[in-house]
Amino acid sequence: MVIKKIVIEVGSGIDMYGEDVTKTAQRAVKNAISGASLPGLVTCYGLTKDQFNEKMIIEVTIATPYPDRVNGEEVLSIIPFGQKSIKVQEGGILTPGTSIKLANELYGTPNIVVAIAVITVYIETD
Amino acid sequence: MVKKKEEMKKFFTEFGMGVDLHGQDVTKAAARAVKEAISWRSPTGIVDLANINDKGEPTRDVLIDVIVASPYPDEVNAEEVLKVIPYGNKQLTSIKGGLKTKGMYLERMDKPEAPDYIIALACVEIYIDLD
Repeated sequence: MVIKKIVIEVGSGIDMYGEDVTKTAQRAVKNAISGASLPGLVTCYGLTKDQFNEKMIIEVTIATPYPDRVNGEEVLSIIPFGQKSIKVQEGGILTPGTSIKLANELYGTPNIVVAIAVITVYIETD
Repeated sequence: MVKKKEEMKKFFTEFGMGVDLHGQDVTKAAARAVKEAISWRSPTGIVDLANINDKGEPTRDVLIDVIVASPYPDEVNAEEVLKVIPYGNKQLTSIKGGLKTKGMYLERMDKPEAPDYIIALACVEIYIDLD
């Protein structure tokens, strides 16, 4: 059995209100996987639909402020299939956001968080 | 002689959007769309599939098929847009689509006859000859 690296995808996500880093990380992952499609899994590597879960290995790395607050399981739920794993590290951007008083009262913080996601897709072949 | 795409295997598809705010230049918008499509991901599997040798040359045929949708498809300069893709056998199809919307005319940056904002979309497909 050989493990082959098929694609690396990069994306960024933003949460404008509330400093929700899990949501930000989810958006980064969504952004990374949304702009591309991998027909080659079927046409070039001969995977069938049922094999996607078993044969695909997906590694997610997130860089975000407050890495400890990220709920990894929720972030991975964005990815539809594969054997998934996640690594969260300190990074991204925390920057002062809106000065609208109402927004600050509603969400408790004026900060904007930005997270980066890198997704590496491998497949197992015989 | 490179085969037609119908005879090859489609390996990868990626999408992007490009905007030109000043000058109403569809070629520029299209080039940016292609740039965005290819900038955020790296199809590393191609090294193995196209059997790329130590010199970086694929030993199997690879075709990069670009479709660009913009408001003025006839004005897109295919050669200029394809320069964005660093290597490979490339071809471009320009179709009508994208978006044109009223822009903000700035005397310093715009020509009076070209005040609109142009948005182009790009789809970049990679085909490999596996036979």
